[in-house]
Amino acid sequence: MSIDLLVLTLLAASAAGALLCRRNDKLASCLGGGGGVLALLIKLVGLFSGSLLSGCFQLPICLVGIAAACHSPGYMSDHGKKRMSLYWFCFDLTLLAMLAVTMLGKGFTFLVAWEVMGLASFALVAFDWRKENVRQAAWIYLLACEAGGLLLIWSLTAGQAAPPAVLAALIVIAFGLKAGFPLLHVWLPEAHPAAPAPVSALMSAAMIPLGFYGIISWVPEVMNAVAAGWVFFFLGAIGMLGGIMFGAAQSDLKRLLAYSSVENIGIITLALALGILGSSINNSIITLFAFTGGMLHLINHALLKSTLFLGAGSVYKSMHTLDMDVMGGLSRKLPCTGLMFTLSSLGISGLPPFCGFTGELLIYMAAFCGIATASGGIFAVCVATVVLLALTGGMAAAAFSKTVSAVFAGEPRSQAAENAATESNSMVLAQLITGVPALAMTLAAPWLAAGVLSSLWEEDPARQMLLFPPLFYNSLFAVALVLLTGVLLFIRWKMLNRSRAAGPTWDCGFAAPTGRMQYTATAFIQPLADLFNEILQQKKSLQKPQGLFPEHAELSVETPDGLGRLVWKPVFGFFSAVSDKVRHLQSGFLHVYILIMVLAIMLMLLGCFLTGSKSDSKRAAAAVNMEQVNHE
Amino acid sequence: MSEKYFSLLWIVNLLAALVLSPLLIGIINKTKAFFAGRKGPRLLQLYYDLNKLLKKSAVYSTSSGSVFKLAPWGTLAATVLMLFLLPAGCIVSPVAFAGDLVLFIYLAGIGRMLTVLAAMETASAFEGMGSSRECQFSMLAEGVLLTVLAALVMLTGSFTLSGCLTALDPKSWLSGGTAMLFLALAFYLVMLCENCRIPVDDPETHLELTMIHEAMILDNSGPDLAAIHYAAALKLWVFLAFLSTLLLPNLCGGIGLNMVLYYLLMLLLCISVGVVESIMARYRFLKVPQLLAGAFAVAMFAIVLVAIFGKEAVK
Repeated sequence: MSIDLLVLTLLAASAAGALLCRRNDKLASCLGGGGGVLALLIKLVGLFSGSLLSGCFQLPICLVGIAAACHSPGYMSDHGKKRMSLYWFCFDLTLLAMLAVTMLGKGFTFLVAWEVMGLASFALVAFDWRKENVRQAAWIYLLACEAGGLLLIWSLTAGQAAPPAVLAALIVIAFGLKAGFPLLHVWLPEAHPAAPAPVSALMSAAMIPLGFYGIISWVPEVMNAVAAGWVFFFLGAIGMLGGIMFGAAQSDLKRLLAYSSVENIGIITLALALGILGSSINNSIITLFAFTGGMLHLINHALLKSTLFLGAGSVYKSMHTLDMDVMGGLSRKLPCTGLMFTLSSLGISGLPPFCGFTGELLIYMAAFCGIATASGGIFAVCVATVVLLALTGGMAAAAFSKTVSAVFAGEPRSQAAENAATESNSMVLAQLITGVPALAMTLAAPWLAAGVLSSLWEEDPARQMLLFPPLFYNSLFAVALVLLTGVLLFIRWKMLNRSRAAGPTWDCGFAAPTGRMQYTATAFIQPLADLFNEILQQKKSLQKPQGLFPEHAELSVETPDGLGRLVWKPVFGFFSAVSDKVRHLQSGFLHVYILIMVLAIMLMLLGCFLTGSKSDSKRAAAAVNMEQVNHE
Repeated sequence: MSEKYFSLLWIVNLLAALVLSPLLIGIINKTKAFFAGRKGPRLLQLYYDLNKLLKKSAVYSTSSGSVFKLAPWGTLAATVLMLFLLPAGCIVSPVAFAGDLVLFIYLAGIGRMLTVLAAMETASAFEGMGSSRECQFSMLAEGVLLTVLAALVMLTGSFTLSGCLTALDPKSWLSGGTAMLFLALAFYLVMLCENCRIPVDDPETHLELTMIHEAMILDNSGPDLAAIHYAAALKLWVFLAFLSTLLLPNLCGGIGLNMVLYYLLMLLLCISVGVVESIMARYRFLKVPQLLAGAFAVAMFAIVLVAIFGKEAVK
């Protein structure tokens, strides 16, 4: 407890310190960033001083927080003078609130921390508020945060009055807004591209998972409710498949990453559902594998996704755009960023020998266990899980193949990409801080899963050890894969010691290839996007070449959010239409206002008389009302 | 017979796979030549090709980077490890572990993604085209493969690839055989897709607009190209071996007979691939997802079959 207190105090102090140095950006960065990193390092050393569950959520916060703090000075370097103190104040406050959330259980203090977290991160999202799209995105994010907060307050104040199922549903919706469950995810693809990259990394890797922490700590009874299992299954299935489908179709780098977060949250939700449904048929093996797999995936996702977001930040810094269709060949300008981004992309596509595979392996095992033993609905769920995970994995591989190849591989597709700036050391260091643990995670996973994570759900050590062999053998195969590749490469290097030649890409005899002839990101994913166009509903505008000597032709493809378009647009459209009608009352003439007031009072009186004649108690209340009216 | 003896036999089979896999391509090409009434390339042609390529030096595109050099060998390593997980006939793999069936599929995945990334490094429009198609089809193929594995797990109750494929003896094969035949059909279709055979992809053509896998390796040369060809042959071996163990019931005891049948079945399946290539045209690309969706439906049908008629009938 004392470590926690020390860490929180240190964070608060560095936030205050940063705010005080308003004139000196460097001092603010030193105080805010240095203090923050120090606090997180202390927390990392005493990681499991609190409960194990808190520790699991604090690990990503600490690692990603340190990396984001290292990345910030480089990324924010041209964001105007005298603004760093505000940035670091909000940054440290966000970290403070996030850590505080993981230390608290259900209650009012949690709510305060939760709100501070939302508001401070809102300020960070809106940091570039002079841009129109940033204001729009920050507004949507604020709405999502406050809607969640409102629902939590509601559930607290409703107390015993409401049925428990309704209360639980309210709480799940409130935290689902933060976690980015499908339908509640609309803020994610808006806020992530708008926020500064370190903030996106922090939010995507560490803040979104706190939605799960909220659900587990506020309504633990959900973990034993079959109905919740079914709800989570559908949420997870839609989230993962829809998330990666819409993600793959995006051409904005950070928007793609944001959708990929929706996908991964979907996978974790699916694991949660499998575990709940497994425990409903008393199959503790399914529960153990699914829950541990979900938790492992949460940590893996945090490490990989933050590396990717920080890499995207470096790309933005050197290109000043996030449009992948104009990038290309950036690995020459940003070699380390390119390497880390490529490795993390392979990892987040769930491929061995990287850590993304370990969590998915456990979830697959849980599903296979259900297939072999369960029957009825739960059997169907397990079969669906296997198929969905496979499809999602394949689509993630396609989406990240597209991303890596459009951004880093090949030749520059525009002048801007050709003149891209080189990477800065501090930003590379930031990517290593999360990227290297992500690489090491494959080897650490057997011990982490069987030794640490599993004890959250399973006390029997013999059962816990069930998790060990698959992950351990997987690690062995990962090592074997790397070693074998290394040996083969060495042999090839020996062979090629003789001679080698370099030349332009062959391109089937065409002698003068240019960068613009390459497949763009949009073109790469077009076959897949067309396959799912019924769902994606892409907007294409084509300007065909015309005339005998055509000069200009253009095709632009846009993929707006599906659920946002289908559900929220009509809802908010309805409200704004009603509000527009109501606005006619606000005419500005005093006598109209007085007329409205008189009409309102008369209506109230009428209402009192009508209801008052029905029962004695209401009559008494009406009498009181009458008196009040008379007084006025 | 002792455990040691089995392991030794498995290793012999592994070596056989490493040595004999290029022969499969030769068999397919001979079959095709037979149907076309040609003499065709020699049975050992790929060995000669590999030998020639290994002796050559390599040309690297100035656009390409490190992934381009790594990918052929990484893919080869992943394919060799896939071979490690497979049982050989009725002999289970000594390194089998619960959950290895997922690793098996995903090892194919890492090889594929490396190839795609390498192809995109060359900045060639043709290779972009091939990669883009590969991503689309392999996503669907992966779904079918895992559905097949889910059905196998359901049928046998085993979580290892070796266990799944070798669990059924002739008696239980007769009761669960219908489902197995459906699974084999689904797997066969995916095998054609994953190994770039007609009707999905044409390994022979040099008209780049119709290719998938061949388009992705246009810029590879020398030892790198040899590694790619060898990995492709190994992958074909892996899939054919999977299919023939799937189809072959485990004759407990008669190991010799079992091995003979296993290799015979592989030979037959290999020839059947050649026959399919001879009598069919390549599908239009828009039709390939339908083919894979059909394979998925067949695999799902097998699951429904087992679910209705009971797993107990098999055990």
